[in-house]
Amino acid sequence: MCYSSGNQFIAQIPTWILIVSGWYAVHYFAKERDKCKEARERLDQLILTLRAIEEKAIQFHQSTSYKGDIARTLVFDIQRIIAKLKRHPLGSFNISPNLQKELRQSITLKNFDASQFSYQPDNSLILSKVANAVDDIEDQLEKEYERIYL
Amino acid sequence: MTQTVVNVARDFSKYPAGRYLEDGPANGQLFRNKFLLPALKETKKLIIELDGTRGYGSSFLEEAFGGAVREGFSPDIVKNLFVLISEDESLVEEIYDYIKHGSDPE
Repeated sequence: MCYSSGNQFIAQIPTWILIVSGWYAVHYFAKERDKCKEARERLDQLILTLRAIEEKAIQFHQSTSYKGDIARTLVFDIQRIIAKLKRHPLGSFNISPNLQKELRQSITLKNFDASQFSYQPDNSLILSKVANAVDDIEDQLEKEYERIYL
Repeated sequence: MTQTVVNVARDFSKYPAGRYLEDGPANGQLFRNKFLLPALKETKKLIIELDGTRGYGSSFLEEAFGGAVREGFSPDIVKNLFVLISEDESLVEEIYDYIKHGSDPE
């Protein structure tokens, strides 16, 4: 009796190994899929914020008069987005400090103070630098997402 | 060599902004005159803690640090005397850019 149930147990071992490893694989891939989805959602939010900063920067530089309140919020927004880049899950993305620096410089180095402000036309170098800086960070974010999650 | 610590948020303003004196109460020119130039003139090490403010505009940073070089101090001396502390690497990198290319920030 004992001999027979021992045999049955041994015969079931491969089945149990299959069940457990199958469960583990399903669990592992579901977890990875969730991580990937969460990172994508955070990334999409960040890109929207980045685009909102770009719009605000264009609005600021194309104002007919100096708008101190927009200048202040731009400085806060840039600092916030740079801080967000360091937080989970985007903290594992390798976004060069140089790109972050270029974003801040493109918006706040020139034509950013009341003493030297003038309306910037559509073909202004300042506006094209803002667009380039935003595009460069977005490209780098997408590349890092692909490198880590796809 | 003596050294002093300046925490921008605590000792200057949580809202550092603007290039020149006419651009606001916590502008780059004022920061340079109040903290950077005295340290440079006395060859005194200055530890500058940058975190804790509500952000920096590049024009503030350029006028403060690039302006120190334009006042006649060599970039090497400025870089050696100022110790920049921040969690934001991009900020430190940017300031070193202005020190290096003081009169020509771009």
